Amino acid sequence: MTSERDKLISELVLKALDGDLDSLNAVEDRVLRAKAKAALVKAKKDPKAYKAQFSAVESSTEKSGQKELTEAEKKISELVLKALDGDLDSLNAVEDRVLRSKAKAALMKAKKDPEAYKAQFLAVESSTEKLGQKKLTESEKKISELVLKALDGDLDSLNAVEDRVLRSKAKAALVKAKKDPSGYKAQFLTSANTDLNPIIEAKKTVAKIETLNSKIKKLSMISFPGIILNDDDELFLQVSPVNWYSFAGWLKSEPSLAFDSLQCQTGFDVGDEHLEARYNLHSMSHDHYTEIRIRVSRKEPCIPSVEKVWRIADWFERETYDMLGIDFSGHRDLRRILLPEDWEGWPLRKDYKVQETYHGIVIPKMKEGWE
Amino acid sequence: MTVDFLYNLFSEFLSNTIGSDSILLISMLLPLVATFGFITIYALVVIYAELKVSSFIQDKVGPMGQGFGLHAGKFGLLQPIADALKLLSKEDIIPRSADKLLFVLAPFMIFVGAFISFVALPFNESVIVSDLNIGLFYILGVGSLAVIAIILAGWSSNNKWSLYGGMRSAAQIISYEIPAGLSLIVVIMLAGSLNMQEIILYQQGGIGNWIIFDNPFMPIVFVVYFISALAETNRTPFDLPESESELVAGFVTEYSGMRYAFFFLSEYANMFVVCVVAATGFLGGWQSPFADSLDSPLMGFFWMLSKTASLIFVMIWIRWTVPRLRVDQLMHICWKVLLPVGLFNIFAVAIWTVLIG
Amino acid sequence: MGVVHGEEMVLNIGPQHPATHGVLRLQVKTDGEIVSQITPYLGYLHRCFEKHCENVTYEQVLPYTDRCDYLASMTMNFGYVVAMEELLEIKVNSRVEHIRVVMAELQRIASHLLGLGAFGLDIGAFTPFLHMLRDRERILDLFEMTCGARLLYNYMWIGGLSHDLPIGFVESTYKFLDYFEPKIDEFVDLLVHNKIFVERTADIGVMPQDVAISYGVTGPNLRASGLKWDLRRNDSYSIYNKFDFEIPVGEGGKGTVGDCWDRFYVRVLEMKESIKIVRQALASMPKEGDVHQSLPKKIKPPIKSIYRRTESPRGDLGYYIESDGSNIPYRLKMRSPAFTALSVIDEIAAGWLLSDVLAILGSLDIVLGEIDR
Repeated sequence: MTSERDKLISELVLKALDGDLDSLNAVEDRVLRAKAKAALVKAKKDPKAYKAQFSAVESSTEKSGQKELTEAEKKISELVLKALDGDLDSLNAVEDRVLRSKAKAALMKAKKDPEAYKAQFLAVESSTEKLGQKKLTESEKKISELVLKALDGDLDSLNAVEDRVLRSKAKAALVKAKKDPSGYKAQFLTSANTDLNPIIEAKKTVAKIETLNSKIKKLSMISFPGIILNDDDELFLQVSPVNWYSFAGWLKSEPSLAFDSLQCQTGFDVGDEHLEARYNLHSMSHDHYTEIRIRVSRKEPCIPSVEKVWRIADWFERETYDMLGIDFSGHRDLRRILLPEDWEGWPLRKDYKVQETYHGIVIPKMKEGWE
Repeated sequence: MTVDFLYNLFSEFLSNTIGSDSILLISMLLPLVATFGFITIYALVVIYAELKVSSFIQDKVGPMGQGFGLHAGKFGLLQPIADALKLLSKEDIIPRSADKLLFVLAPFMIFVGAFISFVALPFNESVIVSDLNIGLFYILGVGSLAVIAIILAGWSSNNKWSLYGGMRSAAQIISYEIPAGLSLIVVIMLAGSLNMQEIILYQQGGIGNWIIFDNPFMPIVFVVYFISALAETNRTPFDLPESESELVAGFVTEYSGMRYAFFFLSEYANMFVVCVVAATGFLGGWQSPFADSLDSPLMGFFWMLSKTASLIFVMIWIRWTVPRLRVDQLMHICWKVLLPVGLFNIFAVAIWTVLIG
Repeated sequence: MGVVHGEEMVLNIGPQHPATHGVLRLQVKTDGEIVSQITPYLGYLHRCFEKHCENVTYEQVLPYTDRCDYLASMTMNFGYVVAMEELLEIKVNSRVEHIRVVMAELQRIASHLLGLGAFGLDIGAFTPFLHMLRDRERILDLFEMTCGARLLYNYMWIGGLSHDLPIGFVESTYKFLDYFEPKIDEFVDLLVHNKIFVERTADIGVMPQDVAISYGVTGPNLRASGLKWDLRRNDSYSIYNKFDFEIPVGEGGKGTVGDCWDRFYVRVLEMKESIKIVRQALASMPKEGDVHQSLPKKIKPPIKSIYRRTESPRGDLGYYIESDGSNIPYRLKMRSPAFTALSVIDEIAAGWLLSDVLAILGSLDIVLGEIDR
């Protein structure tokens, strides 16, 4: 009984916390209503903890700061996101005046800090949090300053701190930081350092790629549903080989993507029963990159050829065929490029055994150690 | 030492012992042997000159040696002899699918073509193997034998690269004979004769009387002739037939050893002939630039050879400085540039001579 | 006007040929002198570089990368080291970065000298080739002073360098730069504006921009077609963003944009820019700093894959490294710029004369070691 009553009370309080007091006031049972109101008063002191205790929402949404969105809020966030990407038409086309004005107000706010808005409403990983600056309190800032100085060799400022608590905290942080100095530095240094910090730059690129990948996934839903097989939180797009040729053509011709250059195409032997072909694409006009991976089975590796889309794929695919045996259907002239035409076997596969002789010349086995 | 002179000389002394036919034979053979010896020595000198001059242009030192008999001789003087010995001792390879008769015939033909034009070259007022009345015409005519030889060499090697080289060369030499001939017509017009000695003697009296300074069009005529001469002898910038980087070695790809040496030799011999003709026609031949001083039979040799040598030096200089022309550009220059200029020159010089004299 | 067609002749340029830059076979179908189709045959210099890399440790891969493009080994090393340092998240100190930039730019000058000289040789100009080799020798002397090797250096290590600069290096480099700068002008006078050279190279082998991008052509070849794309600026690595240098772009100085003359002239201008960068780097190089400071004791990267591009004298060199957590790479792929440059030859050289084909091949500046790996 009590558990049912508790459930009811928690439901009512949650609704009330969201702003809906009517259901609470409409309860006929006075005892229940009173208990619910008391619980509401308590809950209002710390709403998040209460919700965490009782709501059925997954903890992931709490971590990424995603509130439970109502219908209207979802629509508004969609429109604002589109507008941030440049598409204002859908926003202006909304008929409901209230919704439109709310959306425009939200857009004004969002434009001040687009990244934060996107991070709030997209299911992007907390990579933006990993990047550089966490929100630091005063004391944390001071500690990080002292530790950085100490890492560079200046221990005096650390020892000169009068506040004992601060000093001990700083020393503890120093001990930790010494285990991985460059990581610590990367975490706390601002971009006032004019040297290009490759780690920070790499992480920025990672963030860029992830937003780009999710954008591609979204746009591809329209004409190629289901072609992208992986989640948004990886740095590559796993594509199915079925419609790859037309997808490639779409990637090249879509104006906001414009991947007009195939940088590199590699073949991989990913162990177990699969081979993979990876394409690194780049756009000259937008200057963004992405990586596309296509997995096929080892027994019948067949991927549609994209040599008509990017002409360099002609030779790259021949090389992948030569080394791994992946068959590219639709290629105009698929033959070996680096090895002689009559060589047997696919060298870069992990289970490759070199042939014994070639035209009567004995091929020596690999030598071990120094010769 | 013309054949006639020798014949008369020998008949004086030997008419009692040997018949006049054999005296004729001896008096014909001696100059030929002398010419042959001259060509050999000249070849050694010019090969050495090319090596050294090209090295200096390329900021190198070229063949150098410690002393006479060691290495390449002091300053590399023994290098050409070493080259000659090397070429003589090489294996004589004839490709199996080559046309044997023509393959073997080609080097001889080309050497003959170069050699017999030496017959009409004047070295001195009396030293000329045969003072033909049509000397200049003879040289021009005989020099075309090289074309047949080159086509034979290219075709009989049974090799696509040689074929390319042979065809290109044939086209080139035949085309460039025309501007060369047109320039020499101007010379003949002025000198009034085809006889080499007479042309030289027309320019008597010092540097002011040389044909090249006769009227303002003559330098243009000289330049046209010189360019055509470069093309005739297959020298850069016209050395497409034997261009190294493109056609491996052009029409001489399949030749090795002494046969290759013949081609090599005849190219240098051709250079010599062409430069002598230029010196004769334009620069006064064996006459000294200072009228009547330093003008003796021995000095005649010196003047002739030095003028020729400086023109050969210019040819070598151009070879190592300027890139190569493409085949169609070569033809374009010949037919569309040099030919009209040559024709224009004839008229211009004629009119000038008539009006101003 | 009717055109007379004879029988088609199939000619093989190479594999042994004085003009091909390495061991390359081009099967050329010609009709007289006009070329109708070119098919390159590769693989004469294939040495199984990628398979080797799957059997040796990460440090041991470095000498293998040298031997791929043996005419620009420093930049090969540089590309690999930049990729690995990004994978391992190592940051090297400022002195190492400066030395690396100096070495890479000197290598760029040396490589361009050889490429341009060989191009001139194909055209028939014998002398500039030797003058450029003479100047290149002085750069190789500088390298020998530093690491003992003239051609295959193994100098840039993951996390640092193999040797610090010797005493006297900076002065010698300044001397060399002062000596070399007027030589470029001399070379420009001798060859670049020479009428015959211009006739042989202008308007020949024009590569339009979209063809270049589609074929993956990068580096000076792409810049000659008019696109200002340089990885040192656009996808900056090391400390290149600190230096002030121009990016020369082909403007069709003597003919159409993207012809052989443009590819030639862009390289000449790039040499001048490299001299500028070297001067700036030498001036701002810190005197203190240990080049072995950040060498990792053990190289065991996390399970990740990375693709990183850097600018080699021939284009953008990419390394795709996939690690499986051990100290031996799982897969290492080298995307070589000359590979893509050679693939374009059928497109731009068909329809020209035989001599032009060799001119175009020379202007692409390929090295077979890199193509075949």
